[in-house]
Amino acid sequence: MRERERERYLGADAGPYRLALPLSSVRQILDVGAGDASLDPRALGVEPISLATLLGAEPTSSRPAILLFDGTAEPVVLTCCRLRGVIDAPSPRPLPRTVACRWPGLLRGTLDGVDGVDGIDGLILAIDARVLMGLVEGVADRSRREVL
Amino acid sequence: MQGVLVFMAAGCRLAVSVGDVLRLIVETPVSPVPFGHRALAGVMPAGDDSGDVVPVFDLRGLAVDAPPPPRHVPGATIAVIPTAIGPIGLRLDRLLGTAARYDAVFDEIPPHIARVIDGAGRADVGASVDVADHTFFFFSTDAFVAAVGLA
Repeated sequence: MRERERERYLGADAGPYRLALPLSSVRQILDVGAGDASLDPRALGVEPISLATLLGAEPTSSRPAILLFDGTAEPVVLTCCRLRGVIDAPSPRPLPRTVACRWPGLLRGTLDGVDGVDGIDGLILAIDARVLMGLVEGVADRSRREVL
Repeated sequence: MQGVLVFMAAGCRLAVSVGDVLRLIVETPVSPVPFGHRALAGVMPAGDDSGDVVPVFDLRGLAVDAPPPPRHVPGATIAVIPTAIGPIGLRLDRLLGTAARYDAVFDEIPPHIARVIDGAGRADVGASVDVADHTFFFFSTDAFVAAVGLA
């Protein structure tokens, strides 16, 4: 059987979700989170969006990590509850069609072959960064319409 | 008559043909899925050597007025059942055993599982009864796939 290509991801938790974001899509880690010092949101210049909230869940950290992405139109700043470091793993294993999800393109699949983590506290879901950016911009558009 | 596996799920006594169950596995940590159906607890390893994953469904999630089902029930039994579009993992409250003989009877179907029962809505068939006089309903994978919007 042909070996799957290996890819690099940034492991991140967003609310209850264990996610892997393609490392190439993360332009910069602005803040690793944790610690006591609170970050002044004005320093970012762009309103951060909670990844957990974006995915329909409650954030689980009061001191999230902050990540900068290249959006399709403008930079996007997302917060996530916890960073888990860089993951080197084979390409995601696609989810079966029976996974009932309203945004099926958002999830590329699950990661396996990750040393020391798989099967212990759950599978890691690999995110399609392009679809995620589309989701962010859809939410931003909706917010703008609500303000107007 | 084919033997059936009888179990409790969502507080109801249900059954599937023994031949329709791929395997029974113990629930390991379930990873929740964003934007998933209310009955979808998450995904977990399929419990075979393939490395595939299986979605874990909890039928309590079909009742819209009930609280959402727990995300993870450590040690719960999951019945892996094939459907036309892939396998599903059905979280069982309890495995009750098998029944080799049963008869068709009519009984009132609990509303929260009516959408996943074989023969629901028909006047002549609703339930079956085993030799110990326990009534059960046949779980239909086709009806389930439609109920969670996968059809």
